[in-house]
Amino acid sequence: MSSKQPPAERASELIESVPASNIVSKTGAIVLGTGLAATAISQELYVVNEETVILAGFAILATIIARSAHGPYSEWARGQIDKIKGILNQSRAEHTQAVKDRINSVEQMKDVVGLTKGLFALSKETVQLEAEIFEQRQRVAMAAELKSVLDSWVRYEQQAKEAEQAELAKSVIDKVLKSLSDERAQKDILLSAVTEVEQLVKNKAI
Amino acid sequence: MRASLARRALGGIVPPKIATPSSLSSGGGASLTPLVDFYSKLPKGPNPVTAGWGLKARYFNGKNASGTPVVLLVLGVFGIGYTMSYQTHLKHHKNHHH
Amino acid sequence: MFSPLDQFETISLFSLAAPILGNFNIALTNLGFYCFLVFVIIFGFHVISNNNLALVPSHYSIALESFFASIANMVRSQIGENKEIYLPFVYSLFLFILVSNLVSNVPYNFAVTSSAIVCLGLSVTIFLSVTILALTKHGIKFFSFFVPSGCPLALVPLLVLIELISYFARSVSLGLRLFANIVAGHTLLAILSSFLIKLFSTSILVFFVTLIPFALFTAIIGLEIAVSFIQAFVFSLLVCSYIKDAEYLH
Repeated sequence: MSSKQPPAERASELIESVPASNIVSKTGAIVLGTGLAATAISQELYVVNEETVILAGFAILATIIARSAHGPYSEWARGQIDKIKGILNQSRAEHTQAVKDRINSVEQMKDVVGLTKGLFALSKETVQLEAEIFEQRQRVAMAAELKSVLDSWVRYEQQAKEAEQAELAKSVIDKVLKSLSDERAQKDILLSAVTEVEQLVKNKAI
Repeated sequence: MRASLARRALGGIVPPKIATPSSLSSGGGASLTPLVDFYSKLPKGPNPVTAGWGLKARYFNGKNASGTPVVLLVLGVFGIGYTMSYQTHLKHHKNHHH
Repeated sequence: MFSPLDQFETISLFSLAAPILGNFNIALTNLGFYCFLVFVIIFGFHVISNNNLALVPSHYSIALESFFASIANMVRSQIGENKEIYLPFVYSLFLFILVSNLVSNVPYNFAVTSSAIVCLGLSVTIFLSVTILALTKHGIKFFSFFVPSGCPLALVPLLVLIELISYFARSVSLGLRLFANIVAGHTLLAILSSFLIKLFSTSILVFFVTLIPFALFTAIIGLEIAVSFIQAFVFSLLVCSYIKDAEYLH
């Protein structure tokens, strides 16, 4: 892949990979590093032997591994961290929501004392009204009963009076009829009628 | 019979119960004060960034995590190993191979 | 003269003659030093990358966490869901072997696990403690472990002998596997590197031609790093299965 890049870019990339802040110190670092290595080898502080080959191979391999694993690893780690962060944030939000819901549901009970007091006053009034109504109703019922009793009395008295009168009339008629059937009475009546007729004749009424 | 009839008639007069203990304390009947205490003690706002000790805060914690310490560790282990090899036998091998 | 086995030599870094009871010589060898180094690396890594014990992990602590989770998963699947009491042991064993293998892969460094006394010491200790565990857990019933279920009575003495030998062979095979793999890998690298240095230092032309076998050599170093992981994993997996045998007797 690097073969397609122009040499200048590759060079700048190589310089970029040197751990230092600006171009001057980068050059310094390269010079210093090369110089140190050369000095170490020439002074035989670093002894070149079989292990050096292993060192070179290890350095190359470690660089390859580090370069190729760095990206995927940090991506994976970021994914995991974001996942955990998401779970934590979500549960915090859910919990906050639950607490808020709870507060709201309790808040509805805020004026429950006044409301209950009002309700009790209302029901007290209702009870009083009911009692009054009951009393009035009783009174009405009493009056109706009294009226019906009195009416019945009136009716009875009337009937009794009527019956008495009928009885009286009947006894009078009976007595009259009885007296009519009596001979003396018939004679008396006849005599009185004759006297009356005589009176009338005398008076030249007829 | 008349009494029960009267009670039934009066039942409609007693106002409905709107304040139940269950609606206030989730049925448990427990007091809300320990809960309120707990929540009032919880810290508010974002977590304050703690400094930690230098190296840890610089290279390891949170977003500062970088691969540099691993490279330094490998270099350090190499340095230890090389120093040991040099002191024990490499300095005697100078000019002897080839 | 360079020998590929030189790297496995245990040498005394400094020693202290301590004639307390007899002629004691207290010495810090490179083996001891590397054991200590491995401990420092493991412990330091756990301390330094704990991300101040924050709930949201960092890039370092997520590695530790997922590593721990995979070891815990191995212990749960191998020994049993409720046998996490063995997790710390398996975890530290795995980390010790893994880190000492990885440290030995850095050039010029001594391989702790290439020392027979470390590997065999580990495996024999584990073997003995697993046997003691099984005996305390099952008592005399432990010996039923050596009789396979449903075998004819005539074969029992022979089978018990075979099972006993194979059981005792565990104590050696466990450590020997790790030891042989690490020693073989490092010896191979040393031999190949002694060939390659001769080729590299012949002439400029041969130097460039040698880059081809050198690439192969680099791949073998990669293989050694893989072996470091695999051997640590195999060792702890086998320890898990031995503990399972002690817990359940098949």
